[in-house]
Amino acid sequence: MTPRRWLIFITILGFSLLLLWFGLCQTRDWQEIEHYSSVLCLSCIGIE
Amino acid sequence: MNRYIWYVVSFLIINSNYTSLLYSGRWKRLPIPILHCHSCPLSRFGCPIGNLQHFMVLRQFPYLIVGYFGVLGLILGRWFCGHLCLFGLLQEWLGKLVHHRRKVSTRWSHVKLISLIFVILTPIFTHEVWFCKLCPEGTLTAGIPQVMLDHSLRMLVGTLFWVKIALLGLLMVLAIPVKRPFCRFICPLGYIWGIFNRLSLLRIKIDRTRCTECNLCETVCPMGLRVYEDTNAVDCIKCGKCIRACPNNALTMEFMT
Repeated sequence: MTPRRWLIFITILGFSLLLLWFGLCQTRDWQEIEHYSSVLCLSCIGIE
Repeated sequence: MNRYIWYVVSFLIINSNYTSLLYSGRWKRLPIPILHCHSCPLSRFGCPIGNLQHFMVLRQFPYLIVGYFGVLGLILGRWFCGHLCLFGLLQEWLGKLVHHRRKVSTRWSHVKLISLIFVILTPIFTHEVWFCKLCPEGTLTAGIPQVMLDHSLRMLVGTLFWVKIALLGLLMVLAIPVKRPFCRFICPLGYIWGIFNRLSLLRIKIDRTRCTECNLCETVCPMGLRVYEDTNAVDCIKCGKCIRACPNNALTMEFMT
């Protein structure tokens, strides 16, 4: 990769890791994902 | 490692809930990097697109999911689509039913951006997970099995269910003459991974001195790409078929170079 590409790569990776760390620290994100994924999604099945 | 081994391992891990109830344990906190409905009776993990839409309904920023997309995308790009996604593999197998397949311009690959915008915006304005409502993968792995297994759900089947079945049927028929149509023109998750293809650590490299532009790569590519024209394009699923097919060894898969 060219130095410019590495710079873009490091910037996006840093930003993504920051978001990931922020999400991991917040129990809200974990709980919302677990809650949403654990319940039978009627929309996904096609029942209104 | 042969990519079919990846598919088998992925299938066994993702579909590892053998209880009669929908799995609701800790693993559901983890979204998998492919489109797989969390309402599938066998599913042990969450769907990233379903969860993304859920956060949009709540009008909250999904830090965890966006960070997850960024980190995994930067490492492997769209590799997941070519090694783990069983819905993509099913389309690939359907394509093997005919020998001559219709070519569709790769310029259409950015149509998936509309789908991604749809995934993000419709839940904000309507408070409904519209992509999940129409998702053909969800119909195949959750809708049909759940309705077949649960008598009480069968009584609730209405127009939406039949619309979903029609969409799935249409897509399956389309997958016979057109290579992986859902992955190329609809899948929002594939588009997210595809954005990272040019930057990801895992990349396909081309030696232009060896390439004779024989188009053999396009013939074998499950996404119908001319690899020499646009290596690591948004639609490249890094399956490695072009690398094995190239008679001049002009293509290689490299990590961190």
